Amino acid sequence: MQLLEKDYSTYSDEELMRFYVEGDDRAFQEVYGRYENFMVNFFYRKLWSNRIKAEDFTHDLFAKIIAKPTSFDPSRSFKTWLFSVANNMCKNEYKKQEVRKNTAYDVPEGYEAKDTRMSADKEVDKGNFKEKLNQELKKLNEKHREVFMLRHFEGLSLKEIAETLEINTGTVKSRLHHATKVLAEKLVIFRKTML
Amino acid sequence: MTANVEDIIKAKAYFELSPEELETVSEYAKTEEEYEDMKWFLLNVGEAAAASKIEASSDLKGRVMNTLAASAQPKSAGTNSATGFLFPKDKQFYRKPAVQMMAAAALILIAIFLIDPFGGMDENPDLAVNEVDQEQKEPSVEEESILRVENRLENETIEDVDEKPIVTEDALLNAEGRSIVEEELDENSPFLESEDSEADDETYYFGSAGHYTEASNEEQGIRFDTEADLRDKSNADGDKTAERNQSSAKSLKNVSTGGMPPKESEKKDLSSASNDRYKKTNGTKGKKKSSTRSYDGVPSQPGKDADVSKKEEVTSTADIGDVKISSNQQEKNLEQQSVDQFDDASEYEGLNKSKEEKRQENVSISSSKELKKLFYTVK
Repeated sequence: MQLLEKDYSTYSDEELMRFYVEGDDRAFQEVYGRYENFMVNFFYRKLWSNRIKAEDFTHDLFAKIIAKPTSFDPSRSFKTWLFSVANNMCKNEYKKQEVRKNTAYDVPEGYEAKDTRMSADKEVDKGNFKEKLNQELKKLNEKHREVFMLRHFEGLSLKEIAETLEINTGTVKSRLHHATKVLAEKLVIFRKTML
Repeated sequence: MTANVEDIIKAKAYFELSPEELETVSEYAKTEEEYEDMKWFLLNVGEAAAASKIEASSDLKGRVMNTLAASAQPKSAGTNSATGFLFPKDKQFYRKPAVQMMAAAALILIAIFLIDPFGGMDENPDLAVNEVDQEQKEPSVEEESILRVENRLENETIEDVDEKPIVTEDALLNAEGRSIVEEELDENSPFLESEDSEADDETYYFGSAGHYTEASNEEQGIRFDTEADLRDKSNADGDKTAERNQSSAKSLKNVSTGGMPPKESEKKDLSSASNDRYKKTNGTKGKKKSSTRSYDGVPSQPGKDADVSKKEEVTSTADIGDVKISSNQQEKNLEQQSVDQFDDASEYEGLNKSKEEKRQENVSISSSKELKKLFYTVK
């Protein structure tokens, strides 16, 4: 029977989705295995480092694919389509949190009510680089931030970022250059202290 | 390219850059110090991204798989079913097992027909051919009157024979030794004339009786043996005496009366009817011709009258007692009527010939049917 079974690892994401549309559940399992951690980390970074929310959003994302697999356009890249859907889910969540923030007392996770500016001695601490990076990313414009995160955290190419965000590749390039220059200028101080 | 710039900065030191690479990285760093700061920043961002990664919990996968199972998505043919095996969707057309098996079967069939293991079938194309060349002739208007009477007589006799065919044996056995002589058979008696009449007799017996076979006739046929003996003797000696003719006539008459001795009134009727018929058909010729009497009232003719007389024998022997006698009386009346319809003896004879031809055709048809039945029964 081993000869008759498919080796799903050899198929592309688009072929696996086609199999799943035709009724092959194992193809979907293979796709889920490939992108489970990608999506959890994506939501984790985008949704204020909330693990539970990241897993819930990941579940909702794949539940949407299960419910309506034909919504995927086989002519597109599945990876960019998946990140595009996930990015839209995050944007919707941002809008919900904005409404709740203005109408309620609770503060969404990831948002801190207190002043997050650290003291000078802590700013030069090597261990605070990651925290400082996150702070500076939050200060960035959303358009620049998402391009920077997709490029350096998710590992997407410029073309994939353009397809995910449905923007021009030149726009991606300029946004990425701007975000990198701003963050590098603000975080370069850590290099001098570490030396 | 931005990607190339980031990769170049991460991979190479400033002094390792070529002039083209220096021009490319000038967007990010124009001096060596800026280049080193950018390199440090990019490497630390990558480390921070890798350090911030989390692993999805096993509970998440279980939830997603439950959702998948609960979706109850309509499925097409399963991949583990026979259809999925024969028609896999992920293979090309010529690699599907069903196509390959059909191709192999087609090759085998082609090879079989090319080799032709059943050669010789075409050499005997008539093995299964069953041709029937008989054509039914529609009776003419002139023959209808005769055929009507004839058919009525045939139907009656056939029904009688079918009802009690076994009685024929007993009647024949009992008929021996009894005699009613109305007319003497002369030397030109058609009953003893030719071999063709014998063949026709056999055919007629077989066709009319239906249940009889040659073997059964031989076993039963006292009358047949007597008749055959008469023929042999008459052919051999050439001297047909009145006694022999009388004995043959006796046997025929005995059979015609079902083996029972006729009554005196019947004897008179028979003798008077035959005399009248003889006078009408042959006029007042001086020589008295002997002939066997037939039911249809036709004077006996060579060969053909033997058929008629034997038919009379078979049919009459199926009857017993009053039933037989009444049928004989009806037949006599019909015979007389059919004879009276014709003024001229020659015209009567011409029609009689055509009638006899028709009878022979019917007999041949019925005999062929009986032969088929017998063939299938034996088979």
